[in-house]
Amino acid sequence: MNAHTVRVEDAEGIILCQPGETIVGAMERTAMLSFRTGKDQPRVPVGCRKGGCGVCRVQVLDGAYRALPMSRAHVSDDDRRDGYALACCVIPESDLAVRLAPRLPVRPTTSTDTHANR
Amino acid sequence: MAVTGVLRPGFIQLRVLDMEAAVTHYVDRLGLNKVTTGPDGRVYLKAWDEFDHHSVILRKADAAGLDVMAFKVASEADLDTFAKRITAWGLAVDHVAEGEQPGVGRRIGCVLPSGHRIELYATIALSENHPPIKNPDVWPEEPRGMKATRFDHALLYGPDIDQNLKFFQEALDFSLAEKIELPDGLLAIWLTCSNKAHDIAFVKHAEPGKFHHAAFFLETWNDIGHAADIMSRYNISIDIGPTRHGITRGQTIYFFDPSGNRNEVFAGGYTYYPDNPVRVWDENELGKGIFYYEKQLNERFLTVVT
Repeated sequence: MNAHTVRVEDAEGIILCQPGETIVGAMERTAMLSFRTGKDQPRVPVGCRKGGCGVCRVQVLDGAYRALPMSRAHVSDDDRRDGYALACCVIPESDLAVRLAPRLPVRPTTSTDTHANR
Repeated sequence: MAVTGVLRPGFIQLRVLDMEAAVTHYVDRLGLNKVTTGPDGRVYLKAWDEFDHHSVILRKADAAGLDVMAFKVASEADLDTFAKRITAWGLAVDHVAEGEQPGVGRRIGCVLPSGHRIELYATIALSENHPPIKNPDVWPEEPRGMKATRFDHALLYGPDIDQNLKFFQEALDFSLAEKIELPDGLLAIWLTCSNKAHDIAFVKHAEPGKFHHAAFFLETWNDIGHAADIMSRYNISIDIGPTRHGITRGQTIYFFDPSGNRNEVFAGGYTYYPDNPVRVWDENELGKGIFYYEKQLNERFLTVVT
């Protein structure tokens, strides 16, 4: 397996994801390297890093990837078909091009969920 | 005043995206004990120093966040009294039958002005591996992982926290221990029903019903350091810390469970009495209030919720 590059629309440089690594994981891990080399690295907002909060929402414009579990409050089934995902859950399987797609304030989760469970 | 009426936070039910990962996090890392798995798949957990049957419930769902936070009250008669008082205050009260959760008696529930569901109950079974009672050793078996002693409090985000404040004071006899007052109004409130600096807190936020964190109590600042070591060893997502709050004076780390629900490990904090003046923070020292050493908020604290 090879490392894959991630380009972010309107941002200089690349994020280099090692096999199995998420976009946010690679970005944070290599942030110091980027600082030392002086090369720009795209920045994606970082929240919970676990697919729950939605602040790192992106749309994948080109390339193949798999996604870890993500909150459907931030990425609906329709969104997924349109390439939306949370960057903390995206594991590239080829080089990727993405754009930031924040949605704040985020869509409310369904409060009826609690009651349905009784 | 003795602690009467509402005694303490009883349990919190959180939605998780991946149950196996959640159980590893809460049991192996945080150190809660698994009590049982219910017929509907919900997983029940408790901390080693809690007597009651459970204090944390995990429910698999497709979105993270909070289902409900519940408080234990002193008696069944209190439960009836609170049902009347909540109705009289102006919130609709609903009823949850005994046994909806294993070991738990009947509950009453309502939805706060901030959009969060809370419940009250009086009856819950004694846990099987509760803290020793007769000639008690310091623990039944040595604590594991971060050694969380109890589910301590929660911080919730939503609108109309002025109304939440009135509700908790007027209907449930909570006290306001501390608040952040900005020129345009209340930003945050720390409420207590006990000797703790807070049992529940709210921050003003446009979207209703959002969850900021569930906190678990550790005994010492050294235990906070040990928890930090575990977080780095197992690559747990850390928000901020170890650090300290000006507000409540608690020593803390914020981190995230595998579904992005924020947790806190919390030690210290002052002892509160109901005759204490309300401690007030304003916009000039807000950063110090939230994070006493950094003296500024990280953006995540105000924006990242589930």
